[in-house]
Amino acid sequence: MSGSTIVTGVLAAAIVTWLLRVALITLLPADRLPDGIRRSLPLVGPAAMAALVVTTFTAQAAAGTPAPRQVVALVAAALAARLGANLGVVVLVALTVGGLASLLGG
Amino acid sequence: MSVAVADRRPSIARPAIREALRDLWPIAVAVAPFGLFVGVTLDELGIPRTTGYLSSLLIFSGSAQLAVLTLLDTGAGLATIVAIVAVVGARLVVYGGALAPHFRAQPTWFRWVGPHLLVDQTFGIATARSDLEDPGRFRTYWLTAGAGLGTVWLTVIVIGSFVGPVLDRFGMLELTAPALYVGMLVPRLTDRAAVCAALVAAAFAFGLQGLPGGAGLPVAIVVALALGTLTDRRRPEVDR
Repeated sequence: MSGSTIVTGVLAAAIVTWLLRVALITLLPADRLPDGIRRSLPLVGPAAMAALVVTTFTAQAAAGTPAPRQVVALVAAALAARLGANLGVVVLVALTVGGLASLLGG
Repeated sequence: MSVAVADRRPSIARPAIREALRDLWPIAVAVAPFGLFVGVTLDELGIPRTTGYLSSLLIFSGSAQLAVLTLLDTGAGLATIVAIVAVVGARLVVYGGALAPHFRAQPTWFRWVGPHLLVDQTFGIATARSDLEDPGRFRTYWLTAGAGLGTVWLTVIVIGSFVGPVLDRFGMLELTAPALYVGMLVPRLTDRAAVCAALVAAAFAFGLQGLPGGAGLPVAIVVALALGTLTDRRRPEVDR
């Protein structure tokens, strides 16, 4: 790889990601979108987070993290979040429960 | 946060900077392993360190950055890189649409520059708060969270690029990313449409994970939005 190739590739990627980000904020503001699409926007959060949970879960399982340990840790995290815990506490609960499950051979 | 923030009433007295930093720390912990991995990858691919660090700030998306670096390593052309990055980052378009109301009354410079800080984590913490309606408050919160995340991101990448050869395992930190997203998901499951959207997105993300370039993720989100909106429409008026 030459230096210029790397720089060109990185700059192209930077421009593409920036265009994706400003697309519905600055270029075509979402309030000008059709009503049906605007109604769906509040659902972006739950949909995206659920998809990311599954994606990161399966990626970790593929990388060798035992699935049962992940499930136990994530259920504990969900319970903590349901009880209104701070996001940092939620992560700490998951790490603690995951660690305990690992010690117990999960 | 963050998570509990969704129900918190607006507070003018509490500075947005302090709240952004408080929301940021669990995210910083969660992105650290991924940042280390990106740093290790930079080292393994032989990318010049300065270029690698700059790419982290310019692209500001770990998944897109990893895609670009590995594609460059395989000798892929510019068109391929652009196409793959567009697919990998497609969810950013949808995030932008959801955050657009917060940018509507902002100064022009912020409407062009601010979205650069849009990633999964900043989207997650900003949309979990109900006290960012004031444009100035949102701007301060967004810039603080984004700049803070960028600082953490660059720092762990630098560390990863130096200690990569001796890094073996990240121990329990591998659970942080899914746990973080669970923590952001649960408070959002407030009605039937949201639960439906989440279930559909999870199912499609699982079923489509084999698609190249991580294309399954944005497809899953779009399908979930369509079905979730349909559920919302079918709900009787009295139920709303």
